[in-house]
Order: sequence, then C-alpha cells, then structure tokens
Amino acid sequence: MYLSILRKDLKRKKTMNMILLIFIILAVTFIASSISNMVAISKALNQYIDASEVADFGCFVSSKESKRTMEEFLKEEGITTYETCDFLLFSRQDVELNGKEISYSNTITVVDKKEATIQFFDENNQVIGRIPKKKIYLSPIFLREIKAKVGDTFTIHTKNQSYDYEIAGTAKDVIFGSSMVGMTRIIMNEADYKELAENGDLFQVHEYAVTTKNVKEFEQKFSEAMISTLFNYDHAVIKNMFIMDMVTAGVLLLVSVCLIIISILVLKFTIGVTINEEFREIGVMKAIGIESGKIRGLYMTKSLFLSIIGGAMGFLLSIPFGKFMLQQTMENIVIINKNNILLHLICSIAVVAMVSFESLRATRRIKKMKPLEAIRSGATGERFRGKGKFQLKNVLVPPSTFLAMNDLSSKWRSFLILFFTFVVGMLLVIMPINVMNTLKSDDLVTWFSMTKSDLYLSKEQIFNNSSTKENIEEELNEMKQKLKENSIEAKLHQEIMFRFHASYKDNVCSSCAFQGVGDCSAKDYVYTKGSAPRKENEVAITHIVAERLKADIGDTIQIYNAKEKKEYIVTAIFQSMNNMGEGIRFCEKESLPYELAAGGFAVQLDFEEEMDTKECKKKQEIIEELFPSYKVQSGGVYLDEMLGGISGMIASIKQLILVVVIFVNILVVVLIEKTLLTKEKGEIGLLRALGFKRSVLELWQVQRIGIVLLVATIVGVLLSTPFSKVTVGWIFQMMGAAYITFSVNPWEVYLFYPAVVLLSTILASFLITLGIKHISPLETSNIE
Amino acid sequence: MADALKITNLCKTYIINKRQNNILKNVNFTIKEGDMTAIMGPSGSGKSTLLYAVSGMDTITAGEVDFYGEDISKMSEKELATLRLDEMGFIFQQMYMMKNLTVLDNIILPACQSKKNQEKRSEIAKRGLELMHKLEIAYIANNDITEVSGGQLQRACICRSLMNRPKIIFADEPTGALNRVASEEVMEELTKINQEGTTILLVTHDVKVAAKCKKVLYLVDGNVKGEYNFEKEMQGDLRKREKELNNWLVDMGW
Repeated sequence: MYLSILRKDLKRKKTMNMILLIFIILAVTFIASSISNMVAISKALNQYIDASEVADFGCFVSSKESKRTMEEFLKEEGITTYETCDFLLFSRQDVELNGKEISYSNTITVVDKKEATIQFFDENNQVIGRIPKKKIYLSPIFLREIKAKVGDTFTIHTKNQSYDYEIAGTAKDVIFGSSMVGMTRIIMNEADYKELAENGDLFQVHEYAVTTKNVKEFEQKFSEAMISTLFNYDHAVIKNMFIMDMVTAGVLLLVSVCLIIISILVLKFTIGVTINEEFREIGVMKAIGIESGKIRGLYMTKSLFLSIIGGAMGFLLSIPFGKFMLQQTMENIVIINKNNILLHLICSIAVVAMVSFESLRATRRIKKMKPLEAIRSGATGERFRGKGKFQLKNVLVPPSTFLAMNDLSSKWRSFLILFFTFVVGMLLVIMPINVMNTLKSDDLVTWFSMTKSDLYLSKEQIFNNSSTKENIEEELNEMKQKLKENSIEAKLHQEIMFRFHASYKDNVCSSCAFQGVGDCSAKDYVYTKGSAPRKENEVAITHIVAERLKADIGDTIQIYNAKEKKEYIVTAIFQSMNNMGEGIRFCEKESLPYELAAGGFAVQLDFEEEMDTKECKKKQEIIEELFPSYKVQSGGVYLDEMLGGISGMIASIKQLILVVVIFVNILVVVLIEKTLLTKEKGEIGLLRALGFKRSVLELWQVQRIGIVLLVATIVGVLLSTPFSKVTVGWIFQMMGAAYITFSVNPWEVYLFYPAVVLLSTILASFLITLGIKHISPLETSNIE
Repeated sequence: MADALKITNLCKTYIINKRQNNILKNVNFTIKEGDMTAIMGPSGSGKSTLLYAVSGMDTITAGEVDFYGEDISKMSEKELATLRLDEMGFIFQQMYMMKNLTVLDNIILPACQSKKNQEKRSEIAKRGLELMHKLEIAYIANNDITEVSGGQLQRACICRSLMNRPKIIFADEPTGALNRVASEEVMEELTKINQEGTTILLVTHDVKVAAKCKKVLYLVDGNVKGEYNFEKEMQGDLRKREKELNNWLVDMGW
C-alpha cells in the first residue's frame, strides 16, 4: 500500500517533491565536498611538509666565513644528521625565455635535483624523479609570472657560455614555492648543474638541512652561536610562508561553512513546507481513522525514498564539485587524499539521516494534531499566523508593493533563509575585494619597511665581499645625474636588508634589519609608537621583534652583526610584513657591514616637483628607457609582484566566489520562489480572478524578494569592512601588520559587485515569477 | 433593458487523456441589465464552468460572449483582467481571501488596484467601511480573516465584489458553505444589491436561493434545458415561488 501511495504522491506533487529532492542533492553536494575539502586543507600543510621530507631546521649561508662557522657549530654540537646543498644564484638579466628577457624582479636560484634536501612534486602531486638532461622544472608561481609554458626554452647565460633548457613542467617546492618567498628555485639534472657551476664565476649559497629530535633546543643554541645566515627555516616558518596560499584555502573554507549552513537551513525550510502542504491530507486520513503511526510511516517512507535518491546523486556530484573548489589551492600545495571518497560517503549518509530525522521530527506534529486542525490548516478560530504590520489605507504604495511589504512583515521567518544567504553571499564577495585592493594599494609599501614613493625601480642585486654603502650611494648618484640630464629632478634612495641576531636580557632572536641609503633618513618611515632613531646607537624594532625579545621603547638591546656586538636603544616600534613581521631599523648614520647584506629592495624615486598621474606615467616611460635593466613600477604593482602576485590569486578566487555566490543566491531564490508560488497558487489565482494583471502579480513576487535582497545587500556591504578586519585581519596580523586599514574601492564595494549580485538574483526571481502565467484564475480553489 | 450578457453557441471542451469532453454544448441565453439569474442543474452539468466561461475567467472553445455588446472571447488576457477588475464582481462558494491581510484590506485591495477609481486611498478605505456598515460587519474590519465566521467572511466577499461598482456580479454557490441563517442574510444582501441596479448571475443548488432570483436557467449535460421566469416581482410570496420553482425543476428532471 505504501508503495502505491508513494508512487501516486510523487506524481501528483511533482513540484514540491522535486524541490525537496533538489535540495537534498545540493545539500549533500555542498556538505560532502566542503567537509572533505576542510579536512584536506587543514591537513594539507603538515602532509605537504612530511611528503617533501623537509628537515627539522634549515638555513642558508652565503659567505665562506659563515659556511665555516656553521660547520664548526655543527661539529661542536656533535650533529651529524644534516644534509647540505649548493645553489647557484642568477638575476633576471642572466636568463631568457624563448630568446626574450623575462619580467621578474627576484633572485633566481638553480639547484641540482639529486642534491636537494627535499622532494619536489609535479602538478599531479607525484614525486619528481630523475630529471632528463637539458630539462628543467620551475615553480608554478614563477612559470605564471614570467608567462612561460611547458616546452618553452629557458636560457641561462654565464660569463663564458649560454645554456638552453626545455621547461619540462612545474615543481611544487615546499621551501621556495610559496608566494611569500621572494626567490624562486629551478631544478635540473646533476650533469647540467655541474656544467653550469663549472663554467661560470657564479655566486653560490649553501643550504644546511638539519634533522634533530629537539628543534627548539637546537634553534636556541643556533641563535646563541650568532651565525650570519640569509634565511632560516623550520616547519613552523614554512607553514607561515604558505599563509597567503592558505588565504585562498581559508576563503574556500569560509565559503564551505556558509554553504553547509545555507544547505541545512534551506533543507529544514523545504521539509517544513512539504509537511505543511500535506496537513489537509493528514487531517483527512486521521478523520477516517488511520492511526498516527501509519500516517507518519507513509511520510517517512516518502522522505526516506527522496533522501536516498538525493543522497546518492549528491554523493556523485560532490566529487567533481569538491575538486573544482580545491583547484586554486592545489596550485602550490600538495594536497594528499584530496578526494576522500569515504568522507564524501559518510557526509552523504549523514545528510540522508538528517533529512529523515528532520522529517520524523516534523511528523511528530501528526501525533498531536486533531483532524479538524489539520483539515482547516490550523484555522480553529485562533489566530495561527502573523498579521501584517501595514494597513492598505495608511500606505500610499501600489497594491503590489503593499502585498510584498505585508508578506515580509507577517511571514518574515520564511524569508530569513533568503536574507541570511544574501548577507553571507555579499560578505563573501566583498571581503576578497577589500583584501585584494589593500594588497594592491600604494599605501601598503609603508607596511613593508619602506617609504611611499612615486616610482620603484627594481633589479636583482647580489651583495658580496666587495659591497659597500658607498658603492650603492655612488650608483644612486649616477642614476640621479642621468635623470637630471634628462630633465627629471628626483630624489633616490634604496632599502638594504640584513639578517642580524638581537638579544635582550635572556631573549635572543634572529631578524631582518633595514637601513635606507640615499636621499632618506629613518624619520621618513612610519612608526606605530615612539620616535624615529636619530643617532648611531638608536634603533626601531617591530612588534614581533619586541615580543620575541620582550623589549620595549627605552630598553637597550644588543645586536650582533656577524662582525661585532653593539648596544642600541630602542626608540620606536613599527610594523612590517617583511619576513612575517621581523624588522630592525637602523639610523642612516649607523655604519653596517654591507658585504653581509642579504639583499636590497627597489630603488625608490620621488619627483622633486608635484605631478599628476598622467605626467607621472609619462616620466615613468622615460625612466624605463633610461634604465632598461630596471623594472619601473608603482608601489602597489611592485609589492604585488614581491608578494608573488597574491592579489592575482585572490582576484581569481574572487571570480570563483562571485560565481558560487550568484549560483547559490539564484538557487535559493529559485527554490524558495518556486515553493512560495506553489504555496500561494490559490491566492494568485484569486487575485487573477479579481482582475489583477499578471504583471502586477509578478511585481508583487519580485518586489518581495527584491526588498529582502536590497536590505541584505545593504547589511552585507555595511558589515563587509568590520568583517574583513575580523576574518582576514588576523592574516595580516600574523604577517606582522598589527594595525590594518583596508583599502576600500567604493565603486567596486558599494556599487559594482552589489549591483551584479542584486541584478542577477532579481532577474532569476523575475524569471521564476513568469510561472504565474500558468496559474489560472480557476486555481482560486487551491486556497487553504 | 439592455443586454448585459448575451451568450451565443458557447462551447467548452476539455481534452482529458486524449479524450474530448464537451462540457458546454452550444449554450445560448441572454441576461438583461438588472436581472438576477440563477443557474441550476445537477452536479457535473457544467454550471460553474459556464459561470467562469462567461465571466472571462476561463477560455471558451467556441461561441460568443457579449458583455454589453463587446465579445469578451476575443479580448486579450490584459483586457479581460481590466474588465474583471473594473466591471465585474465575484463571489465564490469558499470565502477566498488573501491570508495575511485584514478583512478591510481584503475588501479594498481591488479598488486600490483599479484605475477606474480616482479616489484617494483614505476615501477608498472609507467607502469600504461604509459597505461593511451596510452589510453590518464593520466591527470585523481590522480582524484577521481567520478570526471571523463564514457568514461574516462571505459578506466581506460581497463587499469586495462591490468595491469597484461592477455592472455584474458573478456568484458561484455564494451560500454553499453557509448555514441557513447566514445563507438567508447573504441572499438578502444580494437581493438588495440587485434592487439597486446591479446585474447578478449566480450558480446554486438551493431552491430557496434560486427562488429569490428573477430567472432560473436549468443546465443538463452542458446544455440549457429550460429557462424559468418568475411572473411576479421579487416582493411576491417566497414560499409560493419556491414551490413553483420546485415543480418546474421536477419537470426538468431535478
């Protein structure tokens, strides 16, 4: 009997059953793929580090002296479990892609795959084995940045010779592969490497990868040894380096969590509406004496049938959908078990169980329900539904608007899901835009231990034993002279970076240190507390260094610059996103060992005269011609490139989110509008019978959704900036920026994107309301 | 009196499971302005279908429906909607109303939508209340529709049907869902409205209701089998009229 009733019910109530089925499918798809992705992403970095076989601690040293000190230290500590690897360093002028120069402003390193201390992975997450001769692998970020593709010819020029290599593919590199690491690493065959190393007078860097049981103890001893290094890493540092990649993963997680909440809410709504739809029949069944248990059994059979079918279909859809969502994150990170079928299955079963439980809960009402109550849909003389807050005589809006407002005020609960979905959707769209614009803004340079300048001229600089401050100043003066000869009056300065050890009382830490050379002084930089260092023995430190040393303004700290240990008074605190917030700023008067400099930032140019953007652009073109070896950029573009084009990654994520949000909005609107149309068939029929034109009724339905959407958009837009601070702000904080001001583009945030979401959703709502055409005035009898 | 409604060779056919069902077969009749006509007939004879077809709520398969000289079967959906809103009033067996509106708002809603009335919203509301007063239901104006009785609600439906001062009211078993007292009250109101000049065409099963009309059409199998005109005016002896009608209906096969 159950089966025959079920068959008839499925046929007769096609729309409602179809809506329920679609929502079960969507809920399973979203929940299974999102949870599986959440598990995959949360485990991803640990798994990636393990799979790459990264040592517990690693450091890079450049000078022979540092190499000797490092080896002595390891010998003294009795550490034999370490590997070493040599790198060759190149600048972009030393390489070519398909015979043309490349646009890249960071150091390019080359390593022998066999000697490397870690494993590399190809785009399919397979370990890269032996590399054939004359083939190389590049990191996905580097490949994208220089606009290369597999099969292209990559040429490396040494002093004596040029070598051509074919790009064989991309290599996921856990140490150099993140967008936060400036340098990139090319891996090649051992014979090719040997040939390259022997045929040129190339600059080399040495890596030490140490395996130790007690990393903390080792790091403490290493710090105390004050060995001059270019860069140190341990597992925690590597995880931090991938913070920007995790931003995209985090955004996806956020989207996933929102999708799960929306799915559950909509599912509850649909089940509730479906059961409500059947109250009259339930009443009739009770009236003719069918037991409550049997009636409940009937509905349970139906929901079980629908949920099993929906669960199975959702399970199948969740696998490709999950893959699609992870695509962006997978570019740089090896995600193992990204498609955990078992997890997808468990989630699908959980949703089926949830739907069944929800149906069981909803059918509990059947037990208590009196036949009369069910037949009259609860209209037993008591008020059973909310009364509208408006009265037609008091409002001057057209009847269609009045009906929309009245529905919203009396049945607001029915529209909560829509409101929630729209607000969340708006936040998900706007937050990445705020982050992206902030990362691209010219103001961001001040968060990177630099001053704000008109133009940034970058080229790779390698510092060695012969490097001096005077050399740099001389080069800047020559550039200035050349500019003057071309009628460009400008000030030039450059930020030079070092890596020193600092100590205060018992606390020791290693940190980047900066000094500006040229037309600048320490007071030109932004400080969050205190005043700029003015004397040789004064420094400013970042929040992170202050925290690590437990030092504050006025304290005297010791800094060891690999040559001597000196005392400095802390005069100011500043924030920097360089090397996860590390930073010490010296006064320009202090003399530092430039032969130990770890690198230099771009040459910063400030025009003497005020000029508008157009004029500046013109001058930029002249400067580009004058200094072809330099890349001339604005602050925003320069930093964006330095950050590995993270804003580009966020931009693509933003597009993906926009598509997902519009898709979810449309889906929720379509399904809720369709549910409401089914529910309100009788009322629509009545109004048509009374002579209301179809267009008026369509307007009523669209306005109702439109009002919810408009209010939700306004709320979403208003909440977007504080929400960005709460949700994304911590990422900037982890990177060292304690005080963030988001760069909000009003055109995008307040107009363009809200309008895109608003219009697409309203259009979907309008298209659904066209279904009113099929509701004849004779449907009046469907009013319950 | 002018012809309010002239039906010529009206046919209505449904195709159900590829089978043609002729619900109305060449129906012909005329309703004069100011008439109060009842359509009677056994269940399934096509009474409601005829009412909805002549009121423009349902399409027809063939024939003509002239409403004050205009063939409404040739009108567009928009024109029909305007006609129903401005010139026609409807009363249904079930007291269909918008669920979330108060009784008064339900009554004045069509008047607020109509472009025929140039009145202000407050004037419309005032007129709605006056109608409610007239039908003695003003005290339920601000009630929710679930808080009032069936009789009160049907009188509210009558108020709604009168709001746009229609030329004709179509009523589909207006007393079908009411008890005897409520039923009599509703018919009393409809009679009064008719006396004030509004044409009424109603469908009923109830001889007592039909006896209050001027004319009765008897429908069998989609055809008008007979037409009964009361010789006397409405003020006549109601019991006698009922008896006369009953006899005629028995003759017709009722």
